[in-house]
Amino acid sequence: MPKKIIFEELGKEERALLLKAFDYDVDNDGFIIDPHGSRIPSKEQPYQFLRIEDSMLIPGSLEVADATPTAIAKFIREKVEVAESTC
Amino acid sequence: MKRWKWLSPPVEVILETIRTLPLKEALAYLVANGVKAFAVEGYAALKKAIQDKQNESQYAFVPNKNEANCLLNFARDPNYREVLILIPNYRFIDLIRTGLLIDWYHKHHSPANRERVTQIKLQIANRPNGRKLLKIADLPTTPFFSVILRYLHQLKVTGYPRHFLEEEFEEFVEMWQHASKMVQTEDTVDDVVSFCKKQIDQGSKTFFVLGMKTASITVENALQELVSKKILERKNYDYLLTKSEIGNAPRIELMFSFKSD
Repeated sequence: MPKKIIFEELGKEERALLLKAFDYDVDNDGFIIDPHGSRIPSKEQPYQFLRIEDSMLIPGSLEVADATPTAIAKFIREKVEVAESTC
Repeated sequence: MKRWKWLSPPVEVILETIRTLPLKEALAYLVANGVKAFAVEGYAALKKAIQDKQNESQYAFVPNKNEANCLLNFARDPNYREVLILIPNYRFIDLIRTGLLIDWYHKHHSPANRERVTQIKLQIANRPNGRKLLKIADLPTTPFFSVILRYLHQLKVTGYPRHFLEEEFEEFVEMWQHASKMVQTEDTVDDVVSFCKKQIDQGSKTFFVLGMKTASITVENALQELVSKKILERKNYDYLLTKSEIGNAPRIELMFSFKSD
């Protein structure tokens, strides 16, 4: 995980292309499909799956996560601030 | 070859162009040049180039970077820092940060921000145990948040362990709405005294009264009455008075707690 994280936005097509570079895909309903061919379940909302427009793409070997404020706060606390505190 | 229909420059030229571009710009360049997928002959090198850039990248791609940066900046918020000191392992600590974001939207109100608050709250409410989670996220949006943190700080100074502070915080999440009064300009001393008496009669372990601007005088007078009539003493309650100023406006916090001896 890089030490300094920069939050950035990406257009829908660019997001899809980045996902495809890591063998993910996007189905016709806008849900992200993992490299095994399954939709990715949300870790926050039961029975919901991650859509391309409301997911977070994490640097490094691509990870896909919820992009709710709480999920972003968790990412910041666990990955960004821990990395900062150990450098 | 068919792929040249999609791509104006040859792959080698594209590859050379994106070689020096940051990830975001490289993706934009590919999209602009008709690259929609990598499952095309000759695109493996482009795919590899994007993978390499992502592996080295510092970018977390989110729907709204301003919001994410706002969340990031709460690391410097005094209340959030206090939370990290008092209850660093609290399992819903990320909801507190979310609550600070909601509070930020409240303070920068606009139709779009109000709409965003509604969305965020709906997302939280739809989670399992959403009612409680919403209460946690709401807490930082109230003036009682800092009062509660001050109370927990007192407990910490007294030597209470972290798990106890977490339990206390959880209790406050459930009860603060019933055990707190924000005194309004139109409230009288009797209104405040009667709120306090009700809390005492109900056996509330802790309760709060907060007054700002002219209401702070009402709070002080109410305290004087509670003390002079020995209501607190008789019922075994302690109080902690904190005075501060927001701008030039006085703010007064009263925290009452039962002395269990």
